Amino acid sequence: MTTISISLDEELVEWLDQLIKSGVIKNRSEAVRGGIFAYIREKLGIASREELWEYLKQKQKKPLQNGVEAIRAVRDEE
Amino acid sequence: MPIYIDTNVFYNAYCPIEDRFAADWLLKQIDPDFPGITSEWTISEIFRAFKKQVNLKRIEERDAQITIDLFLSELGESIQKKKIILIPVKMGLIMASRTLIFTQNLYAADAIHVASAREMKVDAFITFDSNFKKLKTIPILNPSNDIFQDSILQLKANYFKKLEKE
Repeated sequence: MTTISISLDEELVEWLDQLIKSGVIKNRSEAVRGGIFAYIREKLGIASREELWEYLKQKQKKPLQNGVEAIRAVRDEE
Repeated sequence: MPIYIDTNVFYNAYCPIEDRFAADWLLKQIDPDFPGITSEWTISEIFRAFKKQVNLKRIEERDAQITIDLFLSELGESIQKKKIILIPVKMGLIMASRTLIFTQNLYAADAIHVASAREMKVDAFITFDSNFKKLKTIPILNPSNDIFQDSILQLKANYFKKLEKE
């Protein structure tokens, strides 16, 4: 595991430490780790696979290939 | 180790196609006590599979990238939570693939996946691809099979029993 230093507002650190005391999160690292993935999804605007399915249903021009067809085609390229 | 998850399962879980439900169900079954195993190579295959959907003019590149970003985000979180174990493609596995290529006539990428699964001594290899049926050394489970969910739940129960004994 790599250790990095990050900058956080004092208020946010206090708030985090309160959550640690009350047992919601184990430690600051866990909060940051969890937050990274939540942040990525927020940036994407799609929070789950279910949301992605609905999004792609609207956006696809033709139905996507199924997994066997698509991955077999990738493996056949080699 | 419990189960190896082939690339087509991950692909299906992120596409609005019929097989998504079975793939999604499987990904919801894995947890730190019953982890899913896959190769690092899976990630590259996912990139290429969605790029091919762009080339085939089925989706726009932007939407392929969004799909891949969600896949990477969920995979990263699953690895962090120890629900998924990623197996590096190392020289030992490549050498192990030689035997599989010659004895089972597998394609190179198929052989890497099977060699990874064998290395981790998995109880089952999960794939939608019936080409793997010919493998005799690992039980192959297809999520589109009617008894798939029962088979996984049984595997899970057996694995937990084994863990308790240890």
